[in-house]
Amino acid sequence: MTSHLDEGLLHELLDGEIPSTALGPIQAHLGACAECRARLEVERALLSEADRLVERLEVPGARDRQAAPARPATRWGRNLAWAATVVLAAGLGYALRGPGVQPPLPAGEASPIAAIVPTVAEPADTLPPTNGRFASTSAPESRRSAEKEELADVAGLRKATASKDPLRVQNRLDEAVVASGPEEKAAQAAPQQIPQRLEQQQAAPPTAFRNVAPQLGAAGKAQQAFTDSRDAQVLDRTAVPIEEITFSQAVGRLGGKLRLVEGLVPLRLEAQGESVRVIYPLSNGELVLVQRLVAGKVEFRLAAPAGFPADSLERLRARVRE
Amino acid sequence: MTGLLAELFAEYHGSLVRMLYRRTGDQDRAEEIAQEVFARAVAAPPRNPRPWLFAVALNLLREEGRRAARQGRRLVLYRAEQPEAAPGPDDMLERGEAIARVRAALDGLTDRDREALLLKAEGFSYDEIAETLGLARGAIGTTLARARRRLVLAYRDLEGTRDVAS
Repeated sequence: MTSHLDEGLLHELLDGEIPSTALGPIQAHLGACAECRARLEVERALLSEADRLVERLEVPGARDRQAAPARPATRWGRNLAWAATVVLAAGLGYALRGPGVQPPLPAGEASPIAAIVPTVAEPADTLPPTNGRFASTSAPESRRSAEKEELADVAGLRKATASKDPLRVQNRLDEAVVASGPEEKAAQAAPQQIPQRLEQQQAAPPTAFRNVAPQLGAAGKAQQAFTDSRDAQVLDRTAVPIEEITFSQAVGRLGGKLRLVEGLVPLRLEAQGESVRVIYPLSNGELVLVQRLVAGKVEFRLAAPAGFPADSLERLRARVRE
Repeated sequence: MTGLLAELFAEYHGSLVRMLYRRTGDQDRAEEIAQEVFARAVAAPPRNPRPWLFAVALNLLREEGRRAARQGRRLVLYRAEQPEAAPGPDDMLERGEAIARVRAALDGLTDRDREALLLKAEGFSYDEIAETLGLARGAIGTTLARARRRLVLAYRDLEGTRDVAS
């Protein structure tokens, strides 16, 4: 690709509408063309500002109507507290299961590309429609090779464009539903024990996280900014550092039950405590699929930037597949 | 049939009213048009509801605009916005002015640009925007880029005008 990227293409890129198969040439051009990189940042700021302007035109009273029942901070806090205790138990159980389950790889051991050796065989109809970016072990070698190249494109593109991303700091993630019947039942069953257990959990974070803290990157800082801006009860989760992980590591952490949003191409994978976060690009920030293993089952929630339409979030949630 | 209506209503009503409100600035009209759209959906259930519902809504708006123009009736596009909380008078004034500027900037766009922008704000994909507006999928990126730029520039112009005036 020799000619400059036109603004339509830049907006397609920012809106996450470029098919993964077409990202390669664009990434290559952006890597080589400072002018287009600068234009991309200009368009990104423009897009962000336009979105903010449109969002000001809220239906009178809509915010009040939406805020009341749908997003109870107390429920999240309750779920989080309960989950914290269960994660401890599940983590212990996981450690005692022996070699049958692939353990998470140490952070930084392998690049996202080098480590993409799938460990879980998924039925074809559950794979994302991007032709199995994260393919099963039965995929042909040529297909796996193509997928590695695709991931290289995505990773490279992100590095090329995300070095100064004000949106990362500005983003305020909206809470979405924590999908889990058993979690709620358990939370109701032992409410008195929750605060105490949560305090214990916070007072003694897992050793691995202490080692990861200095490696916090932009994502961690953005999350911290977010923490400062919102209800602390809701945001206890951000006290745990975030580290970028490979696909294999994510699969390992979830006992082979990693979930993805069907039809979307992940930007990167992160670990935060026992949770795995799958990050997808949005025009005004990032969509985050947070999931963790609780008593052998994956529980997940989906979070989007403030202002993201609730009905769209619901539809995305319905597309979460194992 | 009632089940279908309930399902469609639950899933799309909020989003549709929001888009219509942003488009018209009139909550009552937005609600009325949305009701009409859902009534039509029940009469002829769409196969792909979301683009269909929004396309019908935008068509109704355009028809209404043409009819109003023929009758020489001036459309009220700038209904006063009610603040959501209860801020002080200065905040209310500032907020109301800012919203009026956004609306004026939005109304300065072409129908196509404005509608593409509002559909995107409702989480539509490029494919859905293309289907709803009857545009080529390849034109959506350019349309949105132009719409966003014009909206922001128009808003900044209006802000500049205000600053100069005050």
